[in-house]
Amino acid sequence: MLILAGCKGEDRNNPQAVVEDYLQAKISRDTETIQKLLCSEMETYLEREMHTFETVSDARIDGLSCTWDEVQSVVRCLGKIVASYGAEQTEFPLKAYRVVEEDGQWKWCGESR
Amino acid sequence: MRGGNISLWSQRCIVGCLVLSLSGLSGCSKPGPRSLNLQSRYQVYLPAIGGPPASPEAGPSNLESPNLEPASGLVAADQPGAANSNESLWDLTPVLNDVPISEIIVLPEETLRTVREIYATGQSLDNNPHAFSKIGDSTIESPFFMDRFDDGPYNLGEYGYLQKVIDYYQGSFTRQGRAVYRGLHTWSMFDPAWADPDFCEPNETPIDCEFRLQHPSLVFIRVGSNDVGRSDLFSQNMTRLIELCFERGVIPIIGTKADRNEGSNANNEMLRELAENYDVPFWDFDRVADTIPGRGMDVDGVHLTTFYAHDYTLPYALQTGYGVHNITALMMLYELWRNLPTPP
Repeated sequence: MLILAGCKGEDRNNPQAVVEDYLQAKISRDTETIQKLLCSEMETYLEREMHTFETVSDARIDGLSCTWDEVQSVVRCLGKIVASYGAEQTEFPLKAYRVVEEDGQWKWCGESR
Repeated sequence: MRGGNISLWSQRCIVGCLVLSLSGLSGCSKPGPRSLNLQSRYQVYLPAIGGPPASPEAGPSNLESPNLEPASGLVAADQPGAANSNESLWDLTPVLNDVPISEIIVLPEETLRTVREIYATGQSLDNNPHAFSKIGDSTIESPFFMDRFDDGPYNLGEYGYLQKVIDYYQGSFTRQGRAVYRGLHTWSMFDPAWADPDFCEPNETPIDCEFRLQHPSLVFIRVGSNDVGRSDLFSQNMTRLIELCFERGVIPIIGTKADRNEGSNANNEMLRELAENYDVPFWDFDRVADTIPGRGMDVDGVHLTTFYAHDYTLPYALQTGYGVHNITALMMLYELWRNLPTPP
């Protein structure tokens, strides 16, 4: 019996993929993934990270494109998160994010320049 | 939603898809006349958008200086905050829409003492005595919330005494700042994801960003409409915000909302309790909302009915959400300013 597993963004060796997955998990309020991808330094902010888009009816990421800056250990992302609040929309431009390697995998570790 | 990096997706599936030969393991997983009959003491006449110019019969000419002759009831010069020796709001506008003003602008003596202490802290931290900030959701976004008091035109009518605070805080009214966002809830006030990257530092929260940029001595806080289903988070974050304001020397002005989005009035009640516990200014718009058609809310049940004219001589001025919202906010500012040792 063959079971395929790990199709939902499991490339933890690719910093870009980790940041993209983290952002996706954030708008989806996917607690498990947020927990997995959050660096230890940011653990105290777990609850905040889980509730960023709470009460939002539909959040999406438009034009996501991330590049890895190996020298700075930073993943720079273009695009925006678009969230609806009733009939209104709020846009959150994507930023540059710091990533760190912990336990053999890359983790999201807050914002960067 | 992903940005279209197909090769990356392929790579992830190759690396991530585990082939297992055993069972059990899986990882994919609107207006009527208002009932006020107050005597106007100071009047400032300015043209109103969409309305007729001020009538000569109505009072002094547009540019005539208001009568600033002092009256009784001044704060004694040796009391703290006696710098602004003006008449109290309670004497000037004792009721608004038949509601005692002291039930809308809640500033007991203990609160004024706290306010002076916070102000002193703020001055030691070089906060700008002429600046205030705004923290909140779309109900206080520009241009609806007080912007007109910077940009004009407006007509304060019988509330002409408020011109002094408009002059004093000039520049802050139009400034939406970096802590007002549509949909903002209390927990996002402390989330850097909500901070504008064009103005804020990485990992800086919207509040820290706003305080750093504006150095306010006061802040209007209008939240709660989006804080649904998480009363614990609402309470925690409001508490944190108030304590942050104490630490930064910024006087928090806690406002209430007209809606009942949370299914009750729990959020307003929590705000009132916090304001009482911390002895901070309480701007109870909800208290006066019952005197306004539709509780001052538009058809969506959240946003306030507009009052573009900002002409407080109009009979319906105090029958609109923003008409009451903005003038009471200005009154709060007046009474605080009057009780603070602000420099000229």
